[in-house]
Parts: sequence; C-alpha cells; structure tokens
Amino acid sequence: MEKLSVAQLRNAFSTGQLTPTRLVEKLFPSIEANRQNAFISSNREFALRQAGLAEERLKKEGSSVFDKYPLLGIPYAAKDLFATRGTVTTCASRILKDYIPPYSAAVIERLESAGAVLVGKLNMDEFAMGGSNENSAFGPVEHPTHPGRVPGGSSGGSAAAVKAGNCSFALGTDTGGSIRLPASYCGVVGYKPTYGRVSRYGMTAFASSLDQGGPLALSVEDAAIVADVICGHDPRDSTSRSAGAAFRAELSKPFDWKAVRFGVPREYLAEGLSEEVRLGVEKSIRWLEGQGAKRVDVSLPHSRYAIAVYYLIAVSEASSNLSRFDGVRFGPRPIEATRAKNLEEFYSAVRSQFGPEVKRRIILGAFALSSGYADQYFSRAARVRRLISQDFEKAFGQVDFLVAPVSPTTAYPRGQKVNDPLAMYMNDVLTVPVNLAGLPGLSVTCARGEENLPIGLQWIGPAMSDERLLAAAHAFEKAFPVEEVK
Amino acid sequence: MKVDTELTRKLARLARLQLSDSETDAFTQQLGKIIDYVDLLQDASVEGVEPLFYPSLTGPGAAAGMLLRADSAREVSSDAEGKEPYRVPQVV
Repeated sequence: MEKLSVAQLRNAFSTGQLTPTRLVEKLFPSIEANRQNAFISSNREFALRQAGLAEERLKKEGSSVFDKYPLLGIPYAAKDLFATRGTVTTCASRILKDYIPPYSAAVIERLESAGAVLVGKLNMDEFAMGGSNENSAFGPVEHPTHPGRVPGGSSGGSAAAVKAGNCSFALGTDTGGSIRLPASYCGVVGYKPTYGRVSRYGMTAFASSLDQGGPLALSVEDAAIVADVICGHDPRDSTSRSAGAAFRAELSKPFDWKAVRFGVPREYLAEGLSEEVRLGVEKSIRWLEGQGAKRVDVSLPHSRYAIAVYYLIAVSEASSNLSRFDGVRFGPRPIEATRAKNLEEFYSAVRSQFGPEVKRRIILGAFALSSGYADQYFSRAARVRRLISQDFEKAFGQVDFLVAPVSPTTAYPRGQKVNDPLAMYMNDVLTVPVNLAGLPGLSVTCARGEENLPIGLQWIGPAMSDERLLAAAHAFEKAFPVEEVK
Repeated sequence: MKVDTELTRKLARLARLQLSDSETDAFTQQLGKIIDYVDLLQDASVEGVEPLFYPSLTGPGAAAGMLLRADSAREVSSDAEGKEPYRVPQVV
C-alpha cells in the first residue's frame, strides 16, 4: 500500500521501474473484483487512455514534468457525487441511476489538468447523508481491513478504496464529518478544507453552507500534494475563496513545536468517549507537550447544541437542494411516473426513488422551514450557529490549532445504528461543529484500539490556516509512533 | 412538540414525497424523537444574536460575477427522455 504514495509513484515513474499504464493494469483486477463494494463504477479503458497520455508526457519531458503536472499518472477515484462528463454519476441513488452529466466538476478538471488518472467512482451514503455508508442504493461498503465493521461515511468508499490499495488517493466530501470520520475508522488521512477553498462547482449539493470537498490519502504529505491542485478560486462557485494554495511549500519548512500553542476543548474529552479513544488522544497530547508545544485547555461552551444546530440547518438546506430531483430535466422516470395523472403525482412517483434516510432528512428539513416552525427551529439554529462559531474564534485567540478525537468510538459493527437515526446522528458530535464554523479539519491515525482498529486524531484550525495545520499534522505523523492503546 | 401522522403526511406533501402507511408510521416515530432532541435549542440564550447562514463570522466577501459560455441546449438536456425533453403530465 505504501508503494501507492504519490512520492513513491513519481520516483518509480521517473526511474522507469513502473509506468502509468502498467500501474493501471495492476490495479484493475482488484478494482473490478470490488471486494469492499467501494466502487459504483470503474472504467479500465478510460483510465488506460489517461495513463497513456501521462506516459507520453513523461517520455517527452522527463522527470521535470512533475513541476507542471504534479499528479501525472497518479491513480485516483472520486466519490460519486462529483460530476464526471460522459461517465455515470449517481450520488449512490436510484434517482440518478445511469445519469451521465454533460460537464465535469471543477476539482475533476483540476486533477485531470494535473495529470491524475481517474480509475472509478466511489460508493457513498446516498446524497452524502449518513455516517456509515450503509445508506447506498448500491449496497453498503465493507470496512477494508475489518469485515463486518462500517468504514464510516458518507465517504466510505473513498476511505476503503485508498486503504485497500485500489488508488493512491480519493476525493471525498465533508458536510458534518464525512471525510474525517471514514478516514479515522479506516486508518487513512482525511482532510476537510476551510469552507470555500475547494470549488463546489459540479459537486452535488447536500447542504450548501456546510459541504466541502477534500482528499483522503495515505499520508498528510499526499493530501497536501492533492490540496495544492484542488484548492483555488473558481468564479463558477460564488462561495469560492480567492486564495491560492501553498501546501507543499509550508510542509517543506522546518517545523518548530516550541513555537506552537495547541488547545484541547474540554467538552470534546467529556463523557461518552470510549476509553480506547480517550487513551489514544491523551497519549498524542502528551507527545505534543513532550515536543515542546504548549497545551492550553480551552472551552467551546455551545458544543452541546452542535448536533441539534447541524441537523436543522443541514436538513433544511438539503430539502431545498434536493427539490431539483423531480424527473423533469434529467434522471429516470419510473413507470408510475409515466402513468401519473398530474404533475404532483409525477413528482411524487419520481421522488419515491429516494432511499429512506434521504426522505427522512427532506421531511425534517421541510418541517424546520415550514410556516409556524421556521423561526423556532431553523432561525434559532442559525443564531446558535453564530454562538458556536464565536466559541472557536475565542479559542483561536489563545491557540494556533485544536486537537480532539474524531469520533467517540472506533468503527462499529454494521447494522448497529442503522435503525436508530438519532444514535447515528449523535456519532457526528465531534465533527459537525467544524463544518458549522467553516473551519479546516483533518484526521490522522494516532493509535490502534481493540482488534487493531484505527483511532484518528482530529486537527482543527482557524479559517484559512489549512497549510499550517497540515504542516503540524505532517510533523506529528512523521515522528509519532502509532501503537495499540491498552 | 408533538409529531403525529397528520404532520408527517403534510410534510411529505410539501416535499412532494409519497410515503406508504408503514413509512408514515416509522417516520412519525423517528421524527418525534429527533424533534424532541433538537428542542434542546430552546434553552440556548440567543437574545441579540443574529443568525449565521454563511460559515464565517466575517461574511462571504464580494464574489466577482462571470459570464459563462452557454452549453448547447441539446447537450444539457441529453439525459432527459423523449424528443420533447421537458414534457410532463398536463397540469391544467
């Protein structure tokens, strides 16, 4: 698996030990076998064509080609809500089964321009709604190293494909933890950028003020290389930030832990955390202090409201965003729709193709926005959102970044929470605040728990501090020994 | 906040969703639990606090507009069915 790191592949391509097309040929038997059900679709011929182009460039320009095309020949896969022109994009839903977009998402265009090779589209919770990848119309994703456990969601396919060695990195999205959680559960790195750093053009919207695309990769360094490509202003996304990206430059600087102040939010180490997660995080904190970093205990007092705020704002935005799926301009029309007597029946028949979790969230969103309730629920949630954001702002007045657990537990058995939506939602308690405040966050494995299941350490920074945050996480990852906690 | 099947059916109609009787019963129970949970927000002190809809305390900043090349109508509607791509059941 280590051999799929971007740095090692570049080296292998430069020295001729491996070629991009040979790599694609080696990967595809496993991709097509799809043992974890991580892929919804894959296209060997398309991947070979892209790999062939990469090879021609490499032959013509030599190893300096990586300056111009930093991901040349590197195989990746994309969560199946990124539009890919000419290939199926389903959002893991029956309502988009066989849908072929006439355009590609901005991040897909950027990765193609950087020479990356798309090997397939990845399974996910339907419309990114879920935390376990058990809500897909194409079946659940299996944990890549612990069969019978969930890989986390909603970017479960992304985490599983990277960990299983099917690609060098994957694209995921994170609305309430959907990159960080599966990264933590599967033992890979997952990075959610500051809101607005990665264009959402062509990324199917779940909750427009919370969604952000980002990489899952084998190392922070690889995530940084991808971030340099995918971050940047896009005028087609009106929420896109104007900043460029300088991740590799920041990571290449010497890192001085003695110059760092880091915070540990006391509410994030409170009751409800499993003992092994607590031990793993506390060990990491002691290590940081041992390196000379100054620990500051901080409080985020409105944390207790975060799940309620998230599950009102996200579902409200989702109920609006998903109203476009009406079968009129695109998407399959089931037989009941073709027999509808009026437009309302037509819409209902088409939208019966949503899975139960999607329907549940749309209905909850309709409730939160409906007359008589909007003020009490949606507007109030938006007010508390400001209080949560202010908590972070105050904390960052004292520290450079925060560390915390990603999830209360390690990956749990499949089926454990799928019939209890509220229990599933509560699992996001440590990740949703970051999305509400629009901050950058990432998960890096810090320990192994019972049955060798990975435990992620969450890194949270002020808005637009992504490069420095990844530099700190990179310094940690290079030097910290990941061991079993007892 | 009491959630009953009448409310669930009303919300489903608003969202143009068709629910079976068993879905209506199941969703009513689940929504009831979720709404009971989110009611904890009523304890939060929000007097004088403005709502935050964009995820930044400093706001979105100005975004420059951009004139995009229009894709061909045929390409954009290539996924729709039929010769007249937007044909739907008669409304009036």
